[in-house]
Amino acid sequence: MNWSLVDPGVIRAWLICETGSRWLTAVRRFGPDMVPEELVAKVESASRDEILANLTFSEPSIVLWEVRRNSLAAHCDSLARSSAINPKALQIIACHHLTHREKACLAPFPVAAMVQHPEELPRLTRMIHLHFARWTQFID
Amino acid sequence: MVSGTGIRPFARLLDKSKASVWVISPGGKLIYLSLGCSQWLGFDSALLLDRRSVAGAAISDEKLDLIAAALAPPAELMRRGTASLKITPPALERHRPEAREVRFLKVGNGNTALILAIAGDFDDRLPDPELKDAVAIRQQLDSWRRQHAATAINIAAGTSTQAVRLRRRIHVAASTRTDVGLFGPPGSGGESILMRIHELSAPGENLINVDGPLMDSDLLDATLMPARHQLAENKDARVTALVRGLDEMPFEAQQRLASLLDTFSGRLRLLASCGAQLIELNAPTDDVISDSLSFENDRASGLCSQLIDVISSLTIVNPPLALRVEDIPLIATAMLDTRHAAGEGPAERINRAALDALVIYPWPHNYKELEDAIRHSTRTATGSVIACEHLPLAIRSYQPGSVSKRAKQSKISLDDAIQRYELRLINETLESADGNRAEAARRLGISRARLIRRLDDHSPGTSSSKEAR
Repeated sequence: MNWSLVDPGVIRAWLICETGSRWLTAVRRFGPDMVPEELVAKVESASRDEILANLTFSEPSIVLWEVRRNSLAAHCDSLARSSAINPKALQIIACHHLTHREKACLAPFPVAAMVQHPEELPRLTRMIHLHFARWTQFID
Repeated sequence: MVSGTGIRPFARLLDKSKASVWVISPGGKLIYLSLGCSQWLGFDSALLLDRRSVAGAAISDEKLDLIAAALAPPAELMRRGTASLKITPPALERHRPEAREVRFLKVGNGNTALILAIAGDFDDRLPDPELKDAVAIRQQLDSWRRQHAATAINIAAGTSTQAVRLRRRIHVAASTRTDVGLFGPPGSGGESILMRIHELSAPGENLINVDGPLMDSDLLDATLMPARHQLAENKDARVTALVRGLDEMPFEAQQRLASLLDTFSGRLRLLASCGAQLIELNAPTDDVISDSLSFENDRASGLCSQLIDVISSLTIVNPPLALRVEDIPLIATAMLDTRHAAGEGPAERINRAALDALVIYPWPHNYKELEDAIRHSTRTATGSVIACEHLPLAIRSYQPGSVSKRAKQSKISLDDAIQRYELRLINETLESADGNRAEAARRLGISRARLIRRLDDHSPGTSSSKEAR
C-alpha cells in the first residue's frame, strides 16, 4: 500500500507487539473492518521500543500487546508507559495462556480489552468505533 | 541392604546437585536421603535413616518418626506405580521446611519394589494450555448438544448473536407445521436445516424435493403430480414441498406453485431456501400501484408477491460464515465430531494453529466449504489431532489480503493523492539537489518558475494547500 496516496488524516495505526505473527495475521484479516468507514487501519508489527516511539505522535491508535507469562512484568511497564505517552492509544492485550492470577496483574493498567484467540477480535468492533469517535473530529 | 553405600557414585552426583531425593525400602524404611534433604529439612537427614516412612502406619511420638512418616508416599503409589504429593514436613527445631512438590516412583515389582522420591518444582500437573482450550471447546459443544438435543444442527452451533437467533428460529420452525422461508448465501446449508425442520415438525409426512432454478410451470406440475393426487384423494393427507432456490425459480413456475399452495391451503406446505437477500416482508405495500409496476417489483425481489405472503409465516436468516467468526471453532469441532462418530478417520480434535487458520480464512463458499475442509482434514490426518498441514492448501496458505485491497477506496481522492505525490517528489528532488531550485527543476524536467509555483501552492497557509488537505 502506498500510504502517501491516502489522506494522512484518516490513517489510524494499529500496532502489534508479539512473538511470531499470529495476531498480525488476525488483525490484517479483521482490523480493516473494525475501524469506522471513514478511517483506514494501517496494521504494522513493531517492537516494544518502536511502539513507544511511534506513540509520541499522539494520534489515536490501537496497540495490541501479546503478553506471555515470561514477559508479564515487561509488559506491565510498557502498558503504563504507553498510556502516559499517548492517552489516545487504545491498548488491547492478547493473553498467551495466562492464568487468572496473571491476568489480574494487568488489571491496574489501562487495558481496554483482553483477547485469547483471533476469533474474539471482531467483538471489539464497537469499542474501537467508540474510541475513534471520541478522538476523531471533523471527518466528513 | 546397606544404607547409602551401594550407589555411591550416583549418590555423590545427587548430593552435588542439591536435589532432595530419598529412597524407601520394600519394607517401608528410609534407606537413602540426599544432602539436599538435609538442607530442606534443616537438620542432618541421616538421622531419618531406617525410620519407617509408610502412609497411615502407627508411629511413635518422636519428632523424627513424624518427619519420616511425612516423607511417605500416598497409598495409591503401589497400585499406580507413580504418584504426586505436596509435602510440608514438620519442623524439628526452629527451621520450618517449605512445602514442596514430590514425585514418587515405584521401582521394581512385588516385595522387592523400592520407592524413589524426588522433591522439586514441577509444572507437569498443570494441564497443557492447548489441551485446556480443546477441553473448553468440547465442553461448550457438549453443553450446546444437551440444551438443543433435538435441533442440534452443526451449523447452528455457537455463542454469537447470529447463532442464538438462528437456533431460536429453527426451534420455532421445528415446533410447528408452517411454511418457512430460509434466507442464506450459497453453501449455507439451508437444505439440511429445512430437512431437519421437516423431520421435527411433520415426522412421516411425504416430502417432495423441488429444484427451483430448473423448473418451469409444466415441470413443476409433473414434479408435484404425486402430491396433488395424494392431496386430492385424501382430505386428511398432508405434503411438504422443499424448494431449493425459490428466488431463482422462473416466475411462471412461482405463480403456479403459489396457486397450488392456495388450492391445497395448509395441507401443502412450502419449505423454501432463498438467496442471501432477505425480502423486506414488512415493507408497506402500495394498493394503488398498477399491476405492471407491481410485477416489475416482484421480479426485482426474485419472488412473486403471493410466495412472499406464504413464506412470511416464518423466515429464517442464516448469515454467511464470515459473519460468525467466533463460532467457527465450535462449528468445525461439531463437524469433526460427526465424522469421527461415523468412523471417518482417527482425528478427534483440531489443534489451535489449525483453528486459527480456519478463523482467518474468509469462507467465500460458507458452511459447505468448511464441511469440505473438515472432510479433507479427517481423511488426511493420521493421528488424533488435525493440524495445519492437514487442512486444504487454499486454507492453510491463505494470507489476509494486502491492505491496499481492503483499503476503502472512498478515502482516496485522486486530486489530493496526486498533489501529495507531486509535493513529495519535489521535496525529495530539492533535497537531493541540496535545495537548489534551478537544479531540482532541471531534474524534474519543468521550469524553475513552475517548481516555485507548485511549492507556493503547497506551502501551508495557501488556499490550495488547505483544499488539498
